[in-house]
Amino acid sequence: MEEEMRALDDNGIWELVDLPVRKQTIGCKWVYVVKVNPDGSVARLKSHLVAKGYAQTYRVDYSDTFSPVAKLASIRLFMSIAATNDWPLHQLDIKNAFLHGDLKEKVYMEQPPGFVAQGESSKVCRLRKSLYGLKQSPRAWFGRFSEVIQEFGMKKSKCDHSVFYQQSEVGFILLVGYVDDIVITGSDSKGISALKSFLQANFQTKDLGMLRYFLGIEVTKCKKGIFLSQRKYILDLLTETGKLGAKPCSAPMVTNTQLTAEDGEPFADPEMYRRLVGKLNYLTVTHPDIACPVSIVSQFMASPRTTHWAALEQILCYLKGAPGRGIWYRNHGHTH
Amino acid sequence: MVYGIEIMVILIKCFSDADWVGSKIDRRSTTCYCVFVGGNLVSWKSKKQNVVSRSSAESQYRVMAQSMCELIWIQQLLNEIGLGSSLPMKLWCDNQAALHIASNLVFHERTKHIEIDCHFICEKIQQNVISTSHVKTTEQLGDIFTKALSGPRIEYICNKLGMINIYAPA
Repeated sequence: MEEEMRALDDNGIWELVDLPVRKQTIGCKWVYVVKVNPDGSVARLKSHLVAKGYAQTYRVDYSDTFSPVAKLASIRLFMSIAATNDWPLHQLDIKNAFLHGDLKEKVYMEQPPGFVAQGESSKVCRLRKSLYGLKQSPRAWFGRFSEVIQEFGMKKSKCDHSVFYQQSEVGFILLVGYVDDIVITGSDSKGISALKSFLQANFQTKDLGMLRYFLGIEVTKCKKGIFLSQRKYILDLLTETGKLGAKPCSAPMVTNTQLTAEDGEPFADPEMYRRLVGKLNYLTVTHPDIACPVSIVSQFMASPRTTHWAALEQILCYLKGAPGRGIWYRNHGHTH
Repeated sequence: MVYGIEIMVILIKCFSDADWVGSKIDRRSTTCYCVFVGGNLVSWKSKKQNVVSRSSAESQYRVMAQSMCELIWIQQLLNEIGLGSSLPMKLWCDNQAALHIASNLVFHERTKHIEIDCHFICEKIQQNVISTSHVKTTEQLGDIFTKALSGPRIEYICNKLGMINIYAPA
């Protein structure tokens, strides 16, 4: 908590002021998180101060909230380009990303519990930067991030706003951002180190070295290409559903069958069904082979029945057959 | 522009397929396509269409228009970052009727209502942005996105899509 308070102070998040008349404050609270490594061990414990954004009023405390994130197709395209040209993939993580966004609106917040300034307990915090939990935080952060990147000289793509690029005589630099996770690739290694130190100077960044784990996708790179898989995600899913010991099957869907809305009994736990369909949907990021069955089981989210559950179990058993399966992006230049 | 580094020419290919009246509940068709960029599978989709099509060519036509949008988006992104190529993109489909409508703009009663899609695709073909060709049903990789297949067929297509299991005992 002290570390978080220091980060908040260093970034000049707020100033203590008297609450102007006819203005309302929003509350805040502490949230504690456990960060986990891909192998399941505990990486670190974190605490966050979050604002109670649900108490904000539209047009008073916030206006636009939309913030772009990279399309998964452009992330895959990015990986494919890196594979084809055998470019290195660097990963950066921005510490306390949302605390860097500049707030345009005037937002007043109560002082954080346990850290009320002595003798000034009647004052409130006027936020200057965005804070976790505020409605406009993602937008404020993305605006600031994109400004800084363009200051460096990179251009923002018009087709996907979270892809940035630079082309010079020395080579290419490409960058894709997913909120606070950043992946950089390119042939201009000097430019990439310059970009990294530029980001370090503007935000506090953590250099995670070569890309290995991004959005739950495991990335393995070698000279011949790049391999993307979601092995840990599948194993976690199988553990959750108790399907680790299930008999693997060779197809994700029984051939020549049609699911209907009426067959079978209503399924006892529709919430679980919906949650699992959501997880399977995310799995299609590296598994085009289950795209079709997942799209079919997701048509029955509203009122799942036992027959639909059986179809879902079939997909899980198919995944059990080869959890390490994934997409392989070949370096075609290398093989020729 | 000549740079000191060699840049691979990136070819964009797409397989598109439709499962005509695939859904027994409301008889809507399924849109399916997969896009390869430089031989690597980058984008795919399997989605039930939101209108009913009266013929298989019609549903295939909607798929072609949709996959065309995705292809154009990918090409624009590549052009922007400076890795695009001027070569026309390849679009494969296994429906002869749809291909015929695409290559010569013949309108009759059964295609009147998909006029927008028709003009869109014809325009792109004439601009040489894309070229369409026929693919045999056995070579149609879009198969995996349209229907339930048997184990060996899945193996075959996964292999073609570039899906491997690096943890598998060799």
